Amino acid sequence: MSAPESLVKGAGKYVDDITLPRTLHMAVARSPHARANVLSVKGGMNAGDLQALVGGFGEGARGDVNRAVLHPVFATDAVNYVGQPVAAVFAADRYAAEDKLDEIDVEYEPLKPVTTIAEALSASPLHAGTRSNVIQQSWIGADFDDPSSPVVLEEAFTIDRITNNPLEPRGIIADYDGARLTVYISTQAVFSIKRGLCNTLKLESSNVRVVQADTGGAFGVKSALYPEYVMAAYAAMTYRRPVKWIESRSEHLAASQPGRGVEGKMKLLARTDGTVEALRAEVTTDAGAFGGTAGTFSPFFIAMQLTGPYGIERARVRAASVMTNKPPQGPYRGAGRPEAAFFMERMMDELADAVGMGADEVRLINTTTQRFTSPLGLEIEASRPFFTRAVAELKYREKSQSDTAGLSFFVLTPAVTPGESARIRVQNGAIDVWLGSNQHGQAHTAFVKRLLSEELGVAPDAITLNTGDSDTLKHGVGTWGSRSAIVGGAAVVAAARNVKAQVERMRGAYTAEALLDGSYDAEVFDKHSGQVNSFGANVATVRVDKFGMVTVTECAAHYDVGRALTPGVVEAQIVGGSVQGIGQVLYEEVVHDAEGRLLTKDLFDAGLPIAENIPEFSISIVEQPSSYPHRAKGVGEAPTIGVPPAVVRAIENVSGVRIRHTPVSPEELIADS
Amino acid sequence: MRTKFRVNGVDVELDVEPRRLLVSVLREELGLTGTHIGCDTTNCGACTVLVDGIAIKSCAMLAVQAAGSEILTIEGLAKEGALHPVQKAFVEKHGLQCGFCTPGMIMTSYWLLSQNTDWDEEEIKKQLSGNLCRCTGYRNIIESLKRAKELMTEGATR
Amino acid sequence: MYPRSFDYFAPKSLGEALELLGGNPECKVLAGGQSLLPALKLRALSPKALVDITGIKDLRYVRHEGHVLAIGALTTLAAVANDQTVVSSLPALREAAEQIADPLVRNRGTIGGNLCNADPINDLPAVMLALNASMVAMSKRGTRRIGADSFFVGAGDTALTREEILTQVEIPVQGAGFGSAYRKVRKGSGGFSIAGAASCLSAAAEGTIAQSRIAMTAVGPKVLRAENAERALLGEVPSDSVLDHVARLAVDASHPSSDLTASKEYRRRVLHKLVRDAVGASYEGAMAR
Repeated sequence: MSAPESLVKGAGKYVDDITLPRTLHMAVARSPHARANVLSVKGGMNAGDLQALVGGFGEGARGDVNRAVLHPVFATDAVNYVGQPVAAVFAADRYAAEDKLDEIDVEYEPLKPVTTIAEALSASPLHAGTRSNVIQQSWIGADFDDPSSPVVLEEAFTIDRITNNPLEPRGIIADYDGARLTVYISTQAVFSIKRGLCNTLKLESSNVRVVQADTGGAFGVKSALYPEYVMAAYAAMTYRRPVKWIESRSEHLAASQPGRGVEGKMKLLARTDGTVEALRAEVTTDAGAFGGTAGTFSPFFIAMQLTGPYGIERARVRAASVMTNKPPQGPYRGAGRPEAAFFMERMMDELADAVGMGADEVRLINTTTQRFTSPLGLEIEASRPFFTRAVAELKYREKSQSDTAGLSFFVLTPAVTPGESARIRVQNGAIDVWLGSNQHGQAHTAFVKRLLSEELGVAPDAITLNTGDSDTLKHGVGTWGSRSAIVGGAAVVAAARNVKAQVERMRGAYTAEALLDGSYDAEVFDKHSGQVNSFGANVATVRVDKFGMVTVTECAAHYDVGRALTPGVVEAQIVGGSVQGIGQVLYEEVVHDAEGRLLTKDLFDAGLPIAENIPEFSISIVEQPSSYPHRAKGVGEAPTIGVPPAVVRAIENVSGVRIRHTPVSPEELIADS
Repeated sequence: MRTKFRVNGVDVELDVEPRRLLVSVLREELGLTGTHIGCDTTNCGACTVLVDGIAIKSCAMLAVQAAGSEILTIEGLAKEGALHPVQKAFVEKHGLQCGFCTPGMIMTSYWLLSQNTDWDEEEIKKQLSGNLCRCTGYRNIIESLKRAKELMTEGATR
Repeated sequence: MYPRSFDYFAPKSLGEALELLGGNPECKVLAGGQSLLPALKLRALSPKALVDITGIKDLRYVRHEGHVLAIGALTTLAAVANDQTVVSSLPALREAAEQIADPLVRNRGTIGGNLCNADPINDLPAVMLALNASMVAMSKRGTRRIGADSFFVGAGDTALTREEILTQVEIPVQGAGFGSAYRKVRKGSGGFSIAGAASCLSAAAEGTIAQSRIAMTAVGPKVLRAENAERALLGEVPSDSVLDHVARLAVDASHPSSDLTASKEYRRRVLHKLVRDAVGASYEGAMAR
């Protein structure tokens, strides 16, 4: 990724800034219907030219689903969401490419779309070869007899879909020279793109190279393999010219993979002192029209985390992903973690009200004093010490006096598995590094330089972190799920130690001079699995005006980051993620009408926060080292987990209105004059 | 249609279709790819440039409408490779993460600072309402703007 | 994302522009382009020809001539909002103009464009009604003045014929005892108005209201006057209960719809508060002068 000094000059090289000779621009014809039979497609490149299915690649995605629910590259005999690609056209000029869309003629037979989970459960299957619209369902946690708890609380919550909306939409250039396919792409993960292209187009791995262009934000939406990428690659191979596809914002809003979109039913059984004795829950994702994406699997991940930082000894969750006539659901910063925390934290607040305890008191009594593995599989260290300190640091007692503040407490469980790769090459006194994680704003360069200068005793200036390129690393995973500092960092350290060992073998002892004098090359895949969880807490304070409009006045965070590898960057991540958390509660939504047509068609409707929406921030960090060699833990998604429930509770306290969903509308909060 | 204007101090004469947006001509015909396209509904401001000293969204202007004008893009700020104080301030204060909104933010900041007005923080936030950022949460952008003002007042380069 | 092709004309004079409009029934006038170009880019509109009038120099001005503020139709919204006379004497206009879209859009968008767009959610039409403005329209055949009450015919529809260009907006600048205000609500993260209320009134020496005009944005198929509400203010001092009554009458005169941004119920409730606020603020302004 280009350095900030270049980016401020406009010298970045995002994918649309890359120009190859003879490039063809691709425009995509998309379904205007949420559900229809396709009777014929005339014009452009379409299923008549390429029949292929896009399997699950990227964050949270997997291929182990019924083939019948996989997304076709070009629609064949049916379409299942507004925006689904049907055909593609190509022209040397992008304006002309858009004109060529007029030449495409598709005959549709519209059908009644299914737009909610409830409808989907009773409607006939969207896809032939399936028995229902449930993609996957399972139970997590051993069953138990309900204790005879005096306090029984049941609630249903909804978290609406959110479009990721990085400032740079998706984009790709595919180039084929007759033997090798080279792809430049805005992405979080060159390796998932490469694996996806090889798999979908049946290409040999050695014949495909994927290079990360400067990437203008991602937040989850740029790790997946999309049909448009396959089209561009296939067209490049067909026409023997580079093919460039740059998504428009409208396309991003309609047809990328939005995140969230989850319903949760929670039942807490508790004692009058606030101790939770049991949890029963149902988690259902609105997975959209096709399976294999993160939306198929996230309910199980959400379920696993539901007990959060609390020592709840009985828990059982039914988790399911359900198909609707909407774009497939993908990961959005947090990707299941915010949802789990939201459901539990909202119940904690209700429990506080039911038993007449403070929001902090009821949480405290449920914290653990020992390491704890929940019946749902979540592993946590003792949570009481952190929580006690957090409440004090965040001055919750003081802030709660005015009844304008909300508190949240959560666990961040980063996507550590399966680990990450790093390669270090020393040549001519210079150190080049390649990482399997592809940065797009998280300043990996800074922590790589720091870790390597510590491990190797070299000056940071001698170190270059190179751009993600699948030719220079054999294997890699990607940047998502708060994993880069942990496993990316760990891989860098592992590669550094590998190189040191090489120096020792060559020269008898390690010195930085010996390193820089020689030529070394070490690529490691540092395997990791298991959980490296960390705690966090937020207190948010709000004001609600007479129109029901909410202003978050203060957002305070207390997070354990293991080790702050780059302090300024950690704060920046927390601020950015906090504003996204505020966006989820106050502004952001994806709304379809009863015909499945998208109503939130521009960035205002989508609700992206603006500068006027930001609160005062107050950030305090603790560093409880992890067991990893560099002691880091995750941070990127923490604010998106902790901020929404804290803001929602603050709104409840100010307005007296119980809130069970996000976003919250001013209509629910407007006071009578 | 033949169109003439000045970009970053250099005269330009081009034959462009009237429908071509100014941002397209800057990026494609002139290779000035620092100005970005982030949306298609005139919301995001990633395309902000100065036309005759005023910050505007170059995606909502036809190139032919720029005839006879003086255009300043992000590439025109740094002099002989030295960063302009606004650019320096953004680097110093971590006013960018992915960098995609950054040229637009910098051009709007530059325009605000050229107006010699004492903006308070509330006003700065309002003046930034046409520039969206998804990564930073705006806090460091505001700090960068304030720092840029300090650097410029101190009489740093320019 | 990108417009379809069109024939493009850039007249340098008003006369040339009017000739083009006279001869070209299918053309659209392009001013600041902040509403038109987005529509073209989404291909919601694909006119065969555009007549770009931004090259006509003599349509950008704000001139205080006696008791009238004459604003050239191509004056940008930013220039309107920042003009000295507007700031000191026409708070409703300043308050509306400075809250349209964002600063960059206001640097190009024009007062003429905003008015001719006549979008029911645009803010300026309500202000023009409240301030009793006149719109000057020119065609090859001559010039006419159209009062604000007759100018806004329907959604996207004004009293201008195909061959006319709006050249000037004339707003009475009243002296002592007059006050105006515009209050609106929009989604916290920006975007179009959910509802808006404009009030202009004059107060007699003893503090009772002598004249009143109230107009409302985004609560009907077009901008609306609230004439019953205006009448209810006459001769009154706007106490809490008077304001409440007046606001209720204004809400009764509105016809809001439910859409993505807001339900009609919410619009009504918001409008009630906005009318109270706008009338209250314009009264304070009147009493202060």
